[in-house]
Amino acid sequence: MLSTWLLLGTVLGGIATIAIYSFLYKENIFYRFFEHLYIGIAAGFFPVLAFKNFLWPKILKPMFGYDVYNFPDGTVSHEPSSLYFLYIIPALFGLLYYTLYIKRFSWMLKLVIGFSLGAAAGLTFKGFFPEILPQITKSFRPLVVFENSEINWITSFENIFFIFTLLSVMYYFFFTIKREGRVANSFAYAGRWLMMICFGAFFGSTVMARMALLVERIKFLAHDWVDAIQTLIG
Amino acid sequence: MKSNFRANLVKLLTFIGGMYFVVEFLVPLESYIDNFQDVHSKISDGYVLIGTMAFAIGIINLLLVYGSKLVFKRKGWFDSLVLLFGLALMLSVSVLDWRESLHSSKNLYELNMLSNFVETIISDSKSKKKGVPEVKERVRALERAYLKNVDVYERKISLVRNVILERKEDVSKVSSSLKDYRILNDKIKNAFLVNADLPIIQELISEQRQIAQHLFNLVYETSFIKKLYRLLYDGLFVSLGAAMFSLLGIYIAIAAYRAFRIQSFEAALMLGAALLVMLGQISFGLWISEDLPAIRNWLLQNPNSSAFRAIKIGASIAGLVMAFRMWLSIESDFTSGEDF
Amino acid sequence: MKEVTERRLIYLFVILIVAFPILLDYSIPPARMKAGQSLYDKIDTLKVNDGEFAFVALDFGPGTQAENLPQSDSIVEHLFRKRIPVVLFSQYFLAEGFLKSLPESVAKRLNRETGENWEYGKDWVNIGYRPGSGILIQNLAKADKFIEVFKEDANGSSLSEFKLFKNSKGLESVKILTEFTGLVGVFDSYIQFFQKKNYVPIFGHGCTSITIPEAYIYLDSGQIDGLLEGLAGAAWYSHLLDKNYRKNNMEDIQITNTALGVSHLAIIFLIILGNIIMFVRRRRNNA
Repeated sequence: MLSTWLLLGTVLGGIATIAIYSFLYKENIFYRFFEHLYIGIAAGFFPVLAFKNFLWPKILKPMFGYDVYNFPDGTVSHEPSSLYFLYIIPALFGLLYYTLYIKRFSWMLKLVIGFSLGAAAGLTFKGFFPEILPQITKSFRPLVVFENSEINWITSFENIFFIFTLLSVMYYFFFTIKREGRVANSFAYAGRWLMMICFGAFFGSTVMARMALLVERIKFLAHDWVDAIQTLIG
Repeated sequence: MKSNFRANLVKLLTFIGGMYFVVEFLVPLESYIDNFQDVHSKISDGYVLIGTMAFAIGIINLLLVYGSKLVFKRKGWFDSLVLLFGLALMLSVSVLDWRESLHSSKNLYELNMLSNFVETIISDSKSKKKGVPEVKERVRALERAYLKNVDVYERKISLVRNVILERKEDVSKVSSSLKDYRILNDKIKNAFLVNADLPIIQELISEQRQIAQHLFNLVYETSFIKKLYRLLYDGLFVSLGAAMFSLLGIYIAIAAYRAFRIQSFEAALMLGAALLVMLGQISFGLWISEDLPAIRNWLLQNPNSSAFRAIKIGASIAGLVMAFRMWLSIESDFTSGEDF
Repeated sequence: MKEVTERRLIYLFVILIVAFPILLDYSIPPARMKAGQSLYDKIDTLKVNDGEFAFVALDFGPGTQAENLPQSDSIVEHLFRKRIPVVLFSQYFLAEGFLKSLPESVAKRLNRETGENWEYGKDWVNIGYRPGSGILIQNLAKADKFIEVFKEDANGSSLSEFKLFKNSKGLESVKILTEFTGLVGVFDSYIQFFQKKNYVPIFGHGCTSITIPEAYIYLDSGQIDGLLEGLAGAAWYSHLLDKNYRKNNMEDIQITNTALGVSHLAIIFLIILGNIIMFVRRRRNNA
């Protein structure tokens, strides 16, 4: 037996889903109502979560010593650190985002955006090597694979095919030097064809991604929602 | 002169923003700075703090755009009203929910403190920390504090049952936890009496704290505000989000019908690969051939992986170059405009 | 006008054909997913010591829950069955609700089946959403103590008070990371930063189908150890749990997967139909 709140949630969810699907027939007020409600609710989540899960436990609580326990023997769990007050500097710097609304100071917004862009660039640099180096090193595959002193033709073919695809696709996007000659053009063309296979795989996967969303909703309507309404009606 | 200063300041801050991560990656700072992990953690939090301070920008923008529509009754004012209502509702419910959860953890303060205290006594005695009272003295203080709090908690815990009963929720879970809690009360008192080892007392207090937390959590979970929060999240928000995105499923069907035309060899190749992948990932593919999942897997592991890897390597190198240009402020001059 | 009618007919066709197996509760076994099987084997043979746990990152919202939720549900169930402690976390704020409801529903389901209990604080802890994405993850990987990075769980309780974290250290305590998302950037942050010079935890990834082709390059390079490919991956994983653990098969996900298969057939039919119409029209025009 579902609780009343859960039933109510399921019924509301079903109505909301039908409202969104009504757009498929044509745009209407029912759709627009729930569309705007969705945006409003989504925007209302973040601010409190930012406070609750980061600003309070990581910054404000230790800053004001609220995380210190006063033990019954007169000692404390740890000495509050005044260094936490240094966080006022990045906090004030972060407040520069709001100069966006004051024309006179709006240039200062670029200070904090610039800083954040710089940080993102630094992180990109730091993250590039652990992500891409294994990609490069794992591409060096043996073209002829021996197994028990005999050539393993299948793996050898796969490796040759893999490296051929990798190089030809890279070559297709290589615009620094002008491509000349039949061999070079054919090589680049092979890269284009192989990319098409990749895009085909992409399309097949996209179909699954999109259809999974639809199937989930229809299942929700056909099972959960109908059951909830039946329970409510009794 | 003025604009030059402003532009240079932006460039300087952009450089400083990225410098820490570059230096931290290239130089083994842990060899030079004691406890560097802690310093690194604090600096990282500082970076996150800067970004988090922008938390209200979205709300201010929504208020400006939709609020003005509503105030001046421009076209779509009703939609704006709905949006702002949703925003206000979610914000207030989230704040009240947070307040409720803080209240729940506040109830546990004394037990948390005692659990922390006994842990500190053990770790201090292990590390032979100076400037703290003798272990015996501390254990006595612990015992006094525990006994002082027994009655306070008894009242708090008894209230939990009443609240759950009032809310017409399943009281069986509460009853068994209450029983366990009271058994532990006696066990802890007894442990103090027989001068049991500190780790045993620690274990018992920690267990009791966990039960108390479970009980206070039940009160929080069954509160009106928590239920309203879940109704908004699970009932409305999840359904609305899922329905919005599921429209894409229907649109891809129309795209498949209207746009996926075999008009060239490339299109045929693409369609062939798409068909193999689609049939290889569904149950019905097995009716055609048992090998279809393996063929799909081969396609994804070989031509797909290598072609995608080529694109990924190229894009990542380009991304790295872009990052450098951005860091050194030579990418595009965003320090231009009427303010600069 | 004709185009609008045609469009609406296709919408109706797709919805009806997808609803068909769901209304009839019809299901057939899922297709084998090799990458999912390897993740299953990794978890099935995993052993943890005191203080070690699985780190489950649910970085998805309602938009991709249709795929990511059944995936994470199966993995958390498997981890629970193996009595591997689970720490849940998200970099995506819209996942907040799932972080709470998912382990609770799995624990309840398992309790009904086995009669055993799975307790919050001992068997799982929900850290909640945390802002910071890449900065946070690189900080996490470097930290001496995991709990120092987060301090509190989603309800504001101090992490050091939980049994699960007693004796836990830094990244070394994470035996396995399983990350579920449709957001490539979030996944990248784990690939880039969730490792130490001498330690990389087992990495299982649950991706939405649209990112399968990209995820395969990481599978090939060994940067991830197993992959759940969209809903089909979740269905295969659930099928493995049915076979090896569950007393009663979980038909629900197999029905969904069958409906997904039907929807694929509908798409294939529409592609073929579109092309036939194009050829007929072209021939008629030429004539």
